[in-house]
Amino acid sequence: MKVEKHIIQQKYLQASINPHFLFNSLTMLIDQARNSSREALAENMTHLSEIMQYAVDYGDGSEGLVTVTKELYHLEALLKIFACRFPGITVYNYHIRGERQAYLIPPLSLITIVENAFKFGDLGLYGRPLDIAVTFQENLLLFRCVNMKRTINNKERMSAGMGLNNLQSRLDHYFHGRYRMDIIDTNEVYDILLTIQP
Amino acid sequence: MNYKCVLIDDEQASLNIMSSMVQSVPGLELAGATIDPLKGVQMIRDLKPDVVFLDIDMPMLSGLDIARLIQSDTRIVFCTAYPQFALDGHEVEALDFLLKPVPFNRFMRTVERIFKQKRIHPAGDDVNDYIYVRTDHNSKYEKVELDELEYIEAKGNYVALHSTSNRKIMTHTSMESMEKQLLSDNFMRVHRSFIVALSKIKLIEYGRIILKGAGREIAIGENYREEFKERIKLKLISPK
Repeated sequence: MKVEKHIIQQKYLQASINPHFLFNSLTMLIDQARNSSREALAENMTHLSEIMQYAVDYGDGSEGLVTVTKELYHLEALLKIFACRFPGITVYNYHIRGERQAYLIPPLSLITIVENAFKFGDLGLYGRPLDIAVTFQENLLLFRCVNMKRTINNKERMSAGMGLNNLQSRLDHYFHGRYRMDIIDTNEVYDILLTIQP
Repeated sequence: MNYKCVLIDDEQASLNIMSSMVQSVPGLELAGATIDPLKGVQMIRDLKPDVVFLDIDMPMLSGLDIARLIQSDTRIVFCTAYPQFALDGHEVEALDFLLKPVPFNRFMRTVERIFKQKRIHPAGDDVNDYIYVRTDHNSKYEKVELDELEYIEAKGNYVALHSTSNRKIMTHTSMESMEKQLLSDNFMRVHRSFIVALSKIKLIEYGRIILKGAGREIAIGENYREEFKERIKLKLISPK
């Protein structure tokens, strides 16, 4: 039983924060350790450990809900690390609209969406920045994330949406009938709009 | 004679780390490095490197795509943060797979494999460490050691070759043919009237170069600025 739970936990963790993100971030930190200021390095190490801590704490999905503010705090740390990995390129636009509310959502839900977009999106030299918009309305939270898609050319990318399936089952659990996940998936663009009535 | 290496990785950090590892190994030469997979393909065509270190997970063109495009005898070392990719990569013949972050001792194992390969440009083909320059009409030729050559200056129908210890040789030729003659990566046209040896630069400031030795000052021409920046980019430690 215990082992089984551990495996589920680990799978869950991998779905939300994938090893690719971890190893590429570590590569970035090693480079910073050699070529950059200590402050920048310390800052990014802090960001990364906070994200990992957050993922581990809530990795088993049993901890209930967190405030949107907490989720956004960690999402912003994730964005900062991504920005450092691609210096000189704008890899995302990030906007928060409306007055912040203390709505509760499943931990890692927004992060999963963004991570997914980074993994499958073409944000580089020839791509377009990720567009992330968080909108607070009365009794409504909207989260939209739009990315330009990479050309699909390997198996790894075919298996997109594994993290998203997981997210959907968690949302079903907490917000059955009170949420929508609208996805527009064309050849070039992946546009996801998550609407939650908390 | 070194093994020529080209690095392609869409993440600058990874490129920096791999560059410094390549540069730290005698016998390897860093011929080019880019975060742009499209430029990378061009680099492989132009430079015909012995080895290309190739990131797999890149937008536009993945490392596997690039590997399939390579026609020459260039050997491939895949670098990836995805262990799963190592399997996919077997469709393409690769010399090695490196998992990021790459430890130096693991890199050295790759180097051993590289050194067992035949070089694309064998020694002897590339004895470019000196040139002969005709200095008068009586077919007199003077030898100029390239590692002593500091800069070349256009003087009307002549060019002046300035070497260390103030040696100056005039010869009847054009800057264009000088450029073609100097195959070494160390020489670069920075101005309509100047070619400099990059290794002889002491400092760069406000669009000009100051050379070591006598401290000769050379302006960087408007049209040469971008290419110059590109050439020295790998050596730049930019402020954060």
